[in-house]
Amino acid sequence: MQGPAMLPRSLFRAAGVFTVMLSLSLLPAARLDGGDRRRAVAVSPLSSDLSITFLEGPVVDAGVIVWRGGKRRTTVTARTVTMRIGRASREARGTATLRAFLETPDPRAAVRVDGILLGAAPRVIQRHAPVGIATTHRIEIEVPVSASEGPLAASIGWEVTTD
Amino acid sequence: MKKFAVAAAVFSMAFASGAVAAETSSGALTVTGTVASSINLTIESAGGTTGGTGTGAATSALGNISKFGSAPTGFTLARGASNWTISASVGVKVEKANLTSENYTLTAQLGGAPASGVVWKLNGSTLGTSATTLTSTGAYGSTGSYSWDIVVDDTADAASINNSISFTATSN
Repeated sequence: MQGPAMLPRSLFRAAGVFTVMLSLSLLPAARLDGGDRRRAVAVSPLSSDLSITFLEGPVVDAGVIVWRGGKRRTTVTARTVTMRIGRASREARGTATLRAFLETPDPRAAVRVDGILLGAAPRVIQRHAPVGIATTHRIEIEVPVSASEGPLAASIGWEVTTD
Repeated sequence: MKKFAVAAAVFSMAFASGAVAAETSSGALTVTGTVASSINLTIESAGGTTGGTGTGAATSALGNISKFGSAPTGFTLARGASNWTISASVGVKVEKANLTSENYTLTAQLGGAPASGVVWKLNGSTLGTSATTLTSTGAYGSTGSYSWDIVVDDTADAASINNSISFTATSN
């Protein structure tokens, strides 16, 4: 007969093993699809569900930053921002790691998120951040008294990666 | 056998990459603000029993004072032929922030007209209810010491001499 039986023996064995491995790899997905909802929560959200939304808008204004005296030689202005990863949901649809970095720094100011000083490289702000649930973060803008006066602008880049 | 090995390896890599690939997303938040320059004046020291030093609203209590009594805390007393003077100093510090100014001008004035027969002086200049310049080249960050004299004429009524001195620093 013509067909698989005519294939070299070594190649045929390889195809067989391949099939078995593929079946094994598909098993977890099949179980998730057929499992209960709690188990499905562990599935990583689709990338379209990871969009970052700042609930008060993409700009946070520190206002007029004025040193008020005292021994501290810097002025720290704090704001809170509320953000959400993905579309809103009543329960977390998985978790993600939230990182932030200074996308566009202002050389006169240091920026911290939840107490973490930002630089050019992303730093972890929150591990296991809930997807779909709003979280609040504290933004601190620290300006030394030696900095020149004038408008200040910086951009914080945020990255979300599913756990 | 060699082909099997290649097939298995290729499959493993594909499976592995599919299993650990994390989904990512990014966003940006713009931070804006305006840095405003400022200067800050504090009374660092003064004669008398003081309160609030190190702030911009200090107090000094002299108690009862008289020509032939003892000098108030932190003061010296000098008796003249027809008047007497208590003398101390006031330390004033001005600091700057986010400002390129090199120095400042410091003025002082009384909060109200002094009692009759009583003269208040700072740095040798008689104070009134209009501003008197103490210095026009004040150095930021260091405490300037200004002599403070209260001259009481022997004819002045025995009464309260309460008053206030307002200092104003202006960056040059």
